[in-house]
Amino acid sequence: MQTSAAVTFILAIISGMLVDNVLLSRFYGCCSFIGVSKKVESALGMGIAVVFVIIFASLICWPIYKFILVPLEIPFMDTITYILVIASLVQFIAIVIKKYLPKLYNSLGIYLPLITTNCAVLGVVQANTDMEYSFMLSMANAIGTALGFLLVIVVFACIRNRLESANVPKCLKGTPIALITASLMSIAFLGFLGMISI
Amino acid sequence: MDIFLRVLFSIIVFAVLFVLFVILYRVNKKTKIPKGARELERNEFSCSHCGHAECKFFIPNKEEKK
Repeated sequence: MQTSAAVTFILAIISGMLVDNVLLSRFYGCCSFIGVSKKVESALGMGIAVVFVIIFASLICWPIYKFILVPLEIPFMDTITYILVIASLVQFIAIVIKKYLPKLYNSLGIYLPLITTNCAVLGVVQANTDMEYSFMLSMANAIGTALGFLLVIVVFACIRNRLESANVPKCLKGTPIALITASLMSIAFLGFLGMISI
Repeated sequence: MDIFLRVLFSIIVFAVLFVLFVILYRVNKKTKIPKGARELERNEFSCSHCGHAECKFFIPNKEEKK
């Protein structure tokens, strides 16, 4: 029984990371995906910040929904509660990054406070309660989704880095070729579809 | 449950989380970037005048001139 729970946990992580990738199959969080993927360091910093926010938001929001909103019969307050929790977490991360990684803080710029409005974070937290996942499954979903975001944004930044030195037609330089690359990555990730079903 | 109580609980939940957010926001505003961090940024391949990496009127740093 325990083995099967562990297997489900791992499969849920892989599923969230590759099969149901939040960026390439649901198109959540595309703003920061395009905006902060010019440099690999910035993309890595952004990815780690989003990983932290998604995991901690899920860790906090699931108990709030289950033990506060449902018993008080105010489940309709879920979205506004999640937004406030995410906004608070982002402020906390901004303080830490500003204090200990000022260079990263400067390179992230406006995209750091914009994690608050990143659909990927709210989407995961909302899906956890809407799909009535257990705590462990919701954590697996959060970890998988967060790692999927990190993986895709870093890979995309590496590709964009190489594209800068590539011989691209003038009309496609910059954002157009980045969007074509994103669509090709999305098609590539379709290959994982049907690999796992939970 | 009485509708009045539900509204009251909604306001309390919102108020608690909003106060938490405001406290963190004010702490974030007061937190300053440590001295020297901006200087590090300027010493890289950035304009010595405005510090911007993609400055139109790129003026090289002293180290780069040498």
